[in-house]
Amino acid sequence: MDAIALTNLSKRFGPVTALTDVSLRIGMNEVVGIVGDNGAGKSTLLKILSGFHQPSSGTMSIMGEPVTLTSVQHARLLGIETVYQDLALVKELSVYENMFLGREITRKRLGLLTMLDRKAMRETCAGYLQRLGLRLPSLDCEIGELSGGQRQAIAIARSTFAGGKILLLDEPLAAMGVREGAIILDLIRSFRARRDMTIVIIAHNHAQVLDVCDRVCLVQHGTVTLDKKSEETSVEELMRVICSGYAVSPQS
Amino acid sequence: MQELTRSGSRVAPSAAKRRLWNQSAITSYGAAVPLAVLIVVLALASPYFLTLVNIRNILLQSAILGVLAFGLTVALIAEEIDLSIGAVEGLTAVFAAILCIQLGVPWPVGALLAVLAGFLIGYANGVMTTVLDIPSFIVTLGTLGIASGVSLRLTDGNSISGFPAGYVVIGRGSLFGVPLSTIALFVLFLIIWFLLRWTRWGLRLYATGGNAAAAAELGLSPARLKTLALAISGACAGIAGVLISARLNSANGSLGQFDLLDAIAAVVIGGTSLTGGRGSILGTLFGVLIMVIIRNGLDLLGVSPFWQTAAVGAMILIAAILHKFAARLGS
Ligand SMILES: Nc1ncnc2c1ncn2[C@@H]1O[C@H](COP(=O)(O)OP(=O)(O)OP(=O)(O)O)[C@@H](O)[C@H]1O
Ligand SMILES: [Mg+2]
Repeated sequence: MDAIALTNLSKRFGPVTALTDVSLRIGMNEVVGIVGDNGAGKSTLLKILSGFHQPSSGTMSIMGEPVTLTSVQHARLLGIETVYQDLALVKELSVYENMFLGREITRKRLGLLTMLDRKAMRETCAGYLQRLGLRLPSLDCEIGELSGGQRQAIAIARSTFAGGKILLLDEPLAAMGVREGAIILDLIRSFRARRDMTIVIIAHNHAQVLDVCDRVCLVQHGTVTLDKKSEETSVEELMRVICSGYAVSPQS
Repeated sequence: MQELTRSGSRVAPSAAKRRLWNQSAITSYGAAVPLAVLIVVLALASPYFLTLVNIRNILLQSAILGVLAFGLTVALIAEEIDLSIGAVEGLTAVFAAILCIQLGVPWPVGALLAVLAGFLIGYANGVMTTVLDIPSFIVTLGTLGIASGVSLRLTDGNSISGFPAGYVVIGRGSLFGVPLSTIALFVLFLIIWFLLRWTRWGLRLYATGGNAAAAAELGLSPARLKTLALAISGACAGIAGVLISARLNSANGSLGQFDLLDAIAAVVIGGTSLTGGRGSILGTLFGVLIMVIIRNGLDLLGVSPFWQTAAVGAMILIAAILHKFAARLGS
């Protein structure tokens, strides 16, 4: 069964055609990298998967079920979690408080008071982050004290902890140094090793994408022009295809 | 998978360590240091400072400022400000006086209605802030004006005196030598501390103040949380109104008009951030004690009230600078 199957998907924004006839199948627990130039339509594709945009035409199935996603909340109910650029973290709250915000663990005290169970939240969070191989100075430090890479990692961990089965990441490596990026790359590798999460990542660094993804899809002018297993392609091939796209075609 | 789950139940060694020295600890305990210094210095400077009479005096003065400052802390954590607290304190005092003295309402009912009036005014502040999307600074500035105008009109500039004896006990009575108003402050402290630290609501209030957009994205309701925060601030002002009128055994239209600045000073000294998401009720308690003890100490040392006002202003600035500095140290 495919986690995601797109058939002849198109998306128009008024006169602008962002996606034309995209057909794409992403297997269960596969890690797929989406690459392509600015304005190629990568984010649009991801936003359709996350329920943010509705396609102009074409069909989509999630986990084998045909669906028409109506909203981000709807997608979330189906296990599709998106980590946005702004991350939606509260920098004044600690790591574990952010992790559980909106679905706090509580326990009853004296039969009537519903209290936060900070110990349980803290320990569950520590266990989960350890399982992901994520190292932090402390769970009590505020998000504001963490580096950009660590924050991004926490945002991802929160989405997957929420029970998401499909994780969508739009440029999680943007504006990050080598060390910071490595935190995220390690996290993705750890999901990949465990094979319990389908991940779609948009990134610009081809070498990194080939390194952490099972498969890479090149999007050009709103269509998928290359779709190969990582080990069957190379940075050179991607470069060649991208550059040839700019050659003036004789027909026009 | 089995193996992963097993190790997953263990706590990650590096992350499991608790850190004592972090931002929220600085917020909560930062003001304890200057408070301790202040107490030691004044104890050495004046033999009268640590006498029972003077301590009782400090406790009495802390009660009203404390109640106001607690409410303001809740509002500030939600990234809202309540400038109307002093005026609402005055209005609810007058309201209680009219009910209990002029209309002959039983005093417990009068006191409760006064607190309820404070809550409703605060709730109205909250609704105007969140539903109409007007900054709370403006909304509560408006309420401040209305509340003080109404209390002056209701009293025609005079005092209403002569509360029932039971009512006066709230402000003047004591239990085992501890003033009842101090006990009230302590109970309120426990309630708000519990709400902020140990309930879902409290955590979400911090989240709302820190990043309302993120809170909304996670399905929390920032508008409702902010409204309730301002309502709590109003209710606290109502409690302060009851305490002050009970202590004075009278109410007049200008009651509480100078309390806003002292409350803001106490809250800021206590480490609560004006930009939301950060604040502690314990810090505010320390801030209140610092404010009251400074005034008390300067009185004992015979410093003129004019200099006292300047000293309070200087304290606010010093506190703000120290908190900024401590925050850098913490991260
Ligand atoms: N909401 C929108 N309204 C109108 N046009 C849009 C909208 N979103 C995207 N587009 C257009 O669709 C095309 C594809 O945009 P998209 O954001 O998907 O590109 P991208 O591949 O993510 O680029 P980048 O690498 O710069 O992020 C662009 O021409 C863009 O201007
Ligand atoms: Mg994009």
